[in-house]
Amino acid sequence: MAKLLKIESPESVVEKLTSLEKRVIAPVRDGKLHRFLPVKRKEEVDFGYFQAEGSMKGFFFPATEGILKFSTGTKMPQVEEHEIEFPETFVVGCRPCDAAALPIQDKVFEWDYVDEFYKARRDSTTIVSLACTCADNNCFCTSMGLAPDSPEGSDILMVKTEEGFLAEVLTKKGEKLASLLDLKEKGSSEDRRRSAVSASKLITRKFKSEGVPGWLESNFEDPLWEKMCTKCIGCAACTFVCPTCHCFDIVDEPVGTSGERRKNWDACTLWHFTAHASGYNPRDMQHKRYRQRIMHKFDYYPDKFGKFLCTGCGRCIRVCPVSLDLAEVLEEISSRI
Amino acid sequence: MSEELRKIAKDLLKSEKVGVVIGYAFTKADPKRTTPIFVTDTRDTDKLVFNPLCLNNLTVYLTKKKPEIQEVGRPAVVAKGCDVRSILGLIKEFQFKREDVVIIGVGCEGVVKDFSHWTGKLTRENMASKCLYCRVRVPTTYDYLVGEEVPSIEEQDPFKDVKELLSKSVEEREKFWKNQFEKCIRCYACRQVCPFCYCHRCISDKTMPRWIESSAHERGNFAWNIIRAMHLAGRCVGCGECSRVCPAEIPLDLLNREIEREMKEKFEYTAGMDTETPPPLRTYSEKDDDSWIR
Repeated sequence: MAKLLKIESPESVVEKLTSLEKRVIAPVRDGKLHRFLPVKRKEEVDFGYFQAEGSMKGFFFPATEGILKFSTGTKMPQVEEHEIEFPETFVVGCRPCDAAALPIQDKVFEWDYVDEFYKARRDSTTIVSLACTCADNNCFCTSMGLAPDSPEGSDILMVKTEEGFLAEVLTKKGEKLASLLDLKEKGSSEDRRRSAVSASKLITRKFKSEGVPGWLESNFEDPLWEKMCTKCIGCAACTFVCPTCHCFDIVDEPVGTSGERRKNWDACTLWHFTAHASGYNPRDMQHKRYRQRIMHKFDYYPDKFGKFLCTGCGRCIRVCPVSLDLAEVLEEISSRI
Repeated sequence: MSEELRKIAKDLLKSEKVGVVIGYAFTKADPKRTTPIFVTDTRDTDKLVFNPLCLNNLTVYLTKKKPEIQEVGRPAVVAKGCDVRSILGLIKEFQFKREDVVIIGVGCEGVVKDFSHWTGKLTRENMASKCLYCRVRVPTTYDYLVGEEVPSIEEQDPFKDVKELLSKSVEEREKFWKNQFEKCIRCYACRQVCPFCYCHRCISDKTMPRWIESSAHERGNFAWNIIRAMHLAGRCVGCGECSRVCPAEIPLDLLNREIEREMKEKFEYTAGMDTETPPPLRTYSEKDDDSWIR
């Protein structure tokens, strides 16, 4: 059982950390959107949010990131490596589905080849998540083996109770933060149990996901793909807002004779993702590209790492220009098992 | 209205005049959200609906981006007045002929800004801004028309917000767009949803040479968004889909409408109103202003 401590509020965590001049990332209201941004004062933060439009994956795996600098002006090309150094950072108030995405991405970026940039950011960051007290019809975390108060990926999980907030201290990083915040008063496990019961009622959309990988493996050519996914228009909105999608492209971008090699987000839903230099594209139709997204998330990745490449945050459904509903595709598959 | 639509769709499919009807249906999970549907079976025509939640411009499915849909057979498309403007524009650009598509025009009182704004009733507050100055509430061209009686509304100046932005200094405008483009993640939802972005290979996908940096940084984002707006000059019909779908909520239509305003002022041209008027950027006229050539 994780250590339970009482905590005044998520805002108090931000206040304390900013007063200690720590780098804090928290949800900020930006026009109509909520975004995760670095904050200097607790007044900038808005925890009364449902979910930030973009996930926080960009803080670990940015949309674009320089990996080395080069110049070709002299006789021999010059290469200069980027220094890898990141300040100690605290993410405060992300949702458990976003925190749970981090161990999923860790497996990819720290597997056979360790992505030093990603690892350095992960190592220097402490995650303080905030359990959900609201959900919409696009949330489906419970079907992905998670819950609105899942501890996966968090160092501290903050849970709202009837009286205030509880901090569930889950890791060494979490313990270090708890002592930095000077949390002493013990929380009640009965309060935690009660909040878990109310959290379990939040998510109404539920389907059986266990048999999905097996079905996918043997139904690659099923008419379902064409029927349900032809409407996909081939943008990358779903993959870019996804906290677990992690495909990238490496590009050299020179200005004159010098430039930078960059690692940029890429997406299997885009036409050029599998386009060959010859002009041939093995995924020539959009439904085949969308199928790849589902296969990667619910067959290939689980096959390799034993988990779904999805936390059920529902962002891809909310953002889709043509209302292509990933959960609906999974529900349809689930109904056939 | 939906009933009438279903009947037309059923007749078209039954008589084999079309192979597919492209329309709207409610999503399975959310009764307040619609999604494009391709009806090929007369039994599925009952799924078709039309209401203020029918946001998509379905004409994107008529372009060469979607050959798999046309392969099914001649398409019929449910089109609002603004969507019909895209069809006329595409015909003018030789993408298909008028007889290649059956237009099921729908009279439209306006659509909601986005699904989350729907309260069960359409008001000036929750209406998409393009609807507040719409002049084509009843489509100008169609093969079938559903709901021809649409109440008129008090028309707004379509360029009100454009003029507001233009009244600011160059520095302020630069700062405004810098803040907006900083949010761009280069997902290309704006491009993919646009009926006029049908290039087989978009300039942003070309790598030999790479004309536009694909990175989501200031240079790359400025280059991408401005080039896209320029390429739509005199072509964009103002359906507003790019702004609606942008996950970063960048007001892309502001850029497009400024160009629309200039086209109107300099060439007295508005895109998508007919299939005959020659588009200014494709046409030479002796009356063209050449004072800028020195």
